[in-house]
Amino acid sequence: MNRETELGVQAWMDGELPPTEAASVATLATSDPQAAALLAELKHTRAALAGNELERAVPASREFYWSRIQRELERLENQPAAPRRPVWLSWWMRFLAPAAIVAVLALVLFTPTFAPSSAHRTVHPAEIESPLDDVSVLTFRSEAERMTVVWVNFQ
Amino acid sequence: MTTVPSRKALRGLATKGWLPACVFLACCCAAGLAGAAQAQAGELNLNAVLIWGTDEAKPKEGSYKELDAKVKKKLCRIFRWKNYFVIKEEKISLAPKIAKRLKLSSKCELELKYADDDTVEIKLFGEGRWTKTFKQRIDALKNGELAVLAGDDKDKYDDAWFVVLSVSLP
Amino acid sequence: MSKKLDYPSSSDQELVQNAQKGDMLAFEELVARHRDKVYARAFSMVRNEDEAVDLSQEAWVKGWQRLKQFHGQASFLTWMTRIVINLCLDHLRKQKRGRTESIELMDEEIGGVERQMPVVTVNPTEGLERAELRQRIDRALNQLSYAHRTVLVLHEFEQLEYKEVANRMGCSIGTVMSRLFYARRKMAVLLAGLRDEQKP
Repeated sequence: MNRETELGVQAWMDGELPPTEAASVATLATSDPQAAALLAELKHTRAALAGNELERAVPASREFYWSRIQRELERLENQPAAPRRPVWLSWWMRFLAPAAIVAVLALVLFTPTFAPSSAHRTVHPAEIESPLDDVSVLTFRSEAERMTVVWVNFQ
Repeated sequence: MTTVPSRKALRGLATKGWLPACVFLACCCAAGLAGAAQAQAGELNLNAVLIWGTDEAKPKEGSYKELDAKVKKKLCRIFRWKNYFVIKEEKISLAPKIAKRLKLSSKCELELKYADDDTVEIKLFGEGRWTKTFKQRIDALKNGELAVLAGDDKDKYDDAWFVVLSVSLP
Repeated sequence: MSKKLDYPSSSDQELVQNAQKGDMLAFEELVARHRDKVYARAFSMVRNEDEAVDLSQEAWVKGWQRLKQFHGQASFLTWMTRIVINLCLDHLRKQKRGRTESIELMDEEIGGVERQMPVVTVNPTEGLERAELRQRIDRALNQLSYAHRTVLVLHEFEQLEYKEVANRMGCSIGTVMSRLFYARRKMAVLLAGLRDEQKP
């Protein structure tokens, strides 16, 4: 059997052959031992696979899995829609943009000098949310050990 | 051999060509500078260690490592347990604004997010339930401070679990 | 006064209708209900847990964004599965193919390797418990190249016709037929081999 014939047998089994070709392949599949053996193997494989895909569960809790989706949806919803550029903006872009860009460059170059130093900011963790009623939380900071502790108490 | 452009050609360039060229060059410079600034912000590399606090001796079975001596000293000064064993240690790299999950055990998962330049947001999931969210200052972590989540071990009376977060050293 | 929806006992159709009006809780219920199947489809294609989680979550986000385009032409799960399949296909295309992939695809194009595989005459399902068969199929699928596994997943598990598989994979129907043939023959050999391993 050549390759074309083998693929024909497969296509016939899958119901993908046009009627004009299907009849001749059907005859071959029943009369030729090689074709018949190949067909049997293909059928066995197809039957083995049918409905026998291994089931899998998401390796994360419902809340965990959903939290990321939710965050992304909220981020997308909070994104402002890009407005159409008005005519005056085109004019501005053409004539004033170079000057504006130079000004922006200057700001970028010199801003770090004027930015408040972060070295002296107070360091305190901020509690945000505790969604469970049966969980209480105690937060404290040890200056000496330079450590912030969040103690979670399941009641 | 360089050719000197004529005055007419220069005028043509001025009106037709130089503005876009100037804008383009300026944008490249701005982008380069912004990129450099962004590269400085970059990724946040954290270390997360799940620790078992107990008064018992190290069990023979299981692969429990001793906790780093410096960290153990800190915990000993605050908490009452004699021994602290590492159950799992993981390194995680956080890109800005992207949350990543970290499974430390079947009962303990974290979701970490480099929320902005100042803070990392930490969500604790205990036994599959979202338990707590809190923020930690990044500058504090970068200064060597530790963020510790802890609680009683529900399975073993009188023991405790700890998750210690710190900035990974290069 | 509108009746508050009891999400867990609502049908998919009711949940979708509510979600299309912006009810995110209804959408969350749909996610909880179908997340395993959507994840499983992603995993079957990319064979990596983390990537499958990421891709399935991305699919849910896209599902929300396109929800108004869903008119019940197929089941909601089928519609979501199509979304995750497309994402997985895009993801796989971007990944660099390993040497094994290239060799396998080359073999398939030459049409040599499967000719050397003798026709398997035993029925691979005979005498097997369903759970055991599923495990073996999964192990065998893992040994296929991404292209062969993908065509098998799309045709055998998603029941797509050759033409639909070709459209999604961005190849010709002839390529689909070749890959499917190779994949099936290889699966037969692998399943028979796994079966032989179990013999005392």
